[in-house]
Amino acid sequence: MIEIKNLKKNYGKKEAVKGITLSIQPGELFAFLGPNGAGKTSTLKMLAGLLRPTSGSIHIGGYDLNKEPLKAKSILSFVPDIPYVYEKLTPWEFLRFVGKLYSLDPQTIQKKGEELLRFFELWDVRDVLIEEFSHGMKQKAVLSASLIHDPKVFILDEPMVGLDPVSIRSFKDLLKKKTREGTIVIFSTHTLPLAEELADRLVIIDHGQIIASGTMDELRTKYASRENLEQMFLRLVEK
Amino acid sequence: MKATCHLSILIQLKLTELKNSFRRLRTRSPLEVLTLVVFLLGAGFGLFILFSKSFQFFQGQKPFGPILIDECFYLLNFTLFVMLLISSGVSAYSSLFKSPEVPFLLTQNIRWNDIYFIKLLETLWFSAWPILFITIPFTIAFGITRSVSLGPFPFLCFVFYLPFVLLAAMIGNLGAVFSVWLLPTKARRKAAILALVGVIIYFFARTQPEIIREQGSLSGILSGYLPHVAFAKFPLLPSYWATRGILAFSQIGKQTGDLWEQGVFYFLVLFSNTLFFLIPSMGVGNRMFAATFLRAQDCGEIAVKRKNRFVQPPVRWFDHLPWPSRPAMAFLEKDIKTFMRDASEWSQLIIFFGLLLVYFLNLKNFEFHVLKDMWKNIIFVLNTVGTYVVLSSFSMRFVFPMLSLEGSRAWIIAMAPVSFASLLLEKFLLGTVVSAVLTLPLVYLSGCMLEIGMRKVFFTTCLGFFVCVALTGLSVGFGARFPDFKSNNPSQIISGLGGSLLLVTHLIYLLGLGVFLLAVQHQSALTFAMISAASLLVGMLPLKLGMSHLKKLEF
Repeated sequence: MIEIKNLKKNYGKKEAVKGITLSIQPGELFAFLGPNGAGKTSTLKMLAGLLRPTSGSIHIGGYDLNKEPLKAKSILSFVPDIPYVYEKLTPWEFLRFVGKLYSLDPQTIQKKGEELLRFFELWDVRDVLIEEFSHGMKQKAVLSASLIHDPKVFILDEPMVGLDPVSIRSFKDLLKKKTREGTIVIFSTHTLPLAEELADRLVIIDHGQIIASGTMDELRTKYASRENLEQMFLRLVEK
Repeated sequence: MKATCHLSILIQLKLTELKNSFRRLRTRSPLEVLTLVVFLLGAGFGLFILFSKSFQFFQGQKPFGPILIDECFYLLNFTLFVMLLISSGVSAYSSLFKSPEVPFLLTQNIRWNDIYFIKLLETLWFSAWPILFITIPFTIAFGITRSVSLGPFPFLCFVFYLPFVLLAAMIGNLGAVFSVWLLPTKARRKAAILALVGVIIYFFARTQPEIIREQGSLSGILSGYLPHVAFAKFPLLPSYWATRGILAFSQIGKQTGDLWEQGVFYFLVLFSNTLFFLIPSMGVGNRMFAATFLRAQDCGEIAVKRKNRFVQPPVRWFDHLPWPSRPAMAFLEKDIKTFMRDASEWSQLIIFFGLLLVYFLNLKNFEFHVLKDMWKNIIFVLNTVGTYVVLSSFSMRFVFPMLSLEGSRAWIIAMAPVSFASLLLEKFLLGTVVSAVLTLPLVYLSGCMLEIGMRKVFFTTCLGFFVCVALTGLSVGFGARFPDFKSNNPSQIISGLGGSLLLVTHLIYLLGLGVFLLAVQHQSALTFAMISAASLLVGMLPLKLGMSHLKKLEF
């Protein structure tokens, strides 16, 4: 479903991403890990079409992101680490706006929007302007809007920041449900226990290169280790 | 996937945002809304009176009256066009390349072209407001002076100004995209801005008007001045087409000739050019915007702060100043660095005061120094007050929002081991010193160029220091009394109740000062003491009020 081939990104002379090749199948919950400046956000931004790769290719759902960006984006959703929201809209208006962008019919927007706002506990404040919201509530509004069109590929950069423990639990369950339905979920995080708990497969990136990839069991076998992810991560990155 | 509908969905979104902004007005205090409305109407009415009186004066100068009024129209539209180009270029740059909305929209399945055009419409919307604010009183005053039927005339002007504004917005947007394409890094853009400012100042310094030999007759003055404003009548300028068209329609029934045909012709020239510019806009929206945006993203990621050899050492000296306090000095250093690192901030300052400098350097060419003492004094006072009006706008734009712009970082102020008193004192001192450095040399220069007596020049320049104290004290005090920590946008902060009240207070103070300086022809210690004491009071009182309000705030 997602094919990344020899993806590279240079900023001037600096090589931020040095030839990543990956294949992610439908229904996979995939985690990107790595220290600050490792190239995670650059990779995710290239996957979302916000950065142009220096070389290499990205195919999403069979569409080349470079050649058919609109078709690729129609099945994609991206939530950045600091998401943008229209502060002068209510969450309900924001959802309707995003729904219309994906050409959803009004009934679907109504049904799906209500479902999402109730799920993220924003239904009671659906007519309050977003500028009045706390950081966590804004994050919930963004997450609701990003799911309105049932994306087949859901990319999240540090998705849990600002959410309260109850919402984190519910959101984790939602992500698992989505993957069971065949959605690809890709997320980056620095919270290693979260990645260990959620991810079917993970990659660790350092200095723009994949230094480890696989399921937790595969990683343990490969590195002949009984450690948890945090210990393994620290050992790999410090090498 | 119905990609063609996206622009209309985006327009609906902007309309909803606008509707909600107006809805929010209901939650603001009635006093705030009333102040804004009264101020806007008052300012509009003031402009109308100014234009009406000027036109009546020109009309009375037979037989040159109509020529002068027409020249004013050409000059106004030329100035508006240049202002529109600059403002739409700057606005397009920030909305196309700096707005966090664009990356969000890019992750949706929206075409680049739709994003480009919604941003173009935003630019148009923001540009249209000042145009309306100036052209409505101008055209009404013009219509009344020319006895044009006021029913269809404003509509006619609207029909001309619509493509006029759209054309300027399209050129501004194209200019912004091409500039970022050519200069994708911040460093290059900064250098280009500096070079541009240099070129503008050089251009103005070079274009010195001829000495007007025949000051005794209006025809002599006109023949001296008019050739210097002929650039506004260059036939390839859109401002020329709009002016010719409106003038032709306004003269129908009063003069003979093919006025109707002329009016329609110039409208069609303007309209067809506007339509033509849709073609490059479509091209840029479809192809170049995407490439430029991504190129700017690439370059933005590697922006590295280089040490400024000229600014760094003086900033370090502040560390050693014992007063008001070392933590306050940390804020001082932060304020200076923040200002110096934002090219859009200091470039405005250089342009404003640079143009004033050029004007004062050119005073001799106007031969004002050969006028009678009474007229020289009036010009000197007007120049001085004019300089303070520019200073007032600087103070409102930069000093007043300083505290509010701490924004979400306001907790740092609250947590810092620095009293609010020394924090406000720091902002007050910084504002006063910068204001004095910018304005006092200009006031002194203006007096010297007019060959006013040194005693008077020295007297007025020294008084200027207290004016800086008053204006800065008012700005810092009002900034602390009416802080808006939610906003990161200086324009939004200024447009609130605090900003409106500050503007009114600044203008009342400067009006009082101007009248006092005109009335007092002889300088004495008593006059000096009176003005300086009044200015100190005007500056210190709001500072004190702001400080006590800040102490009560919860962060």
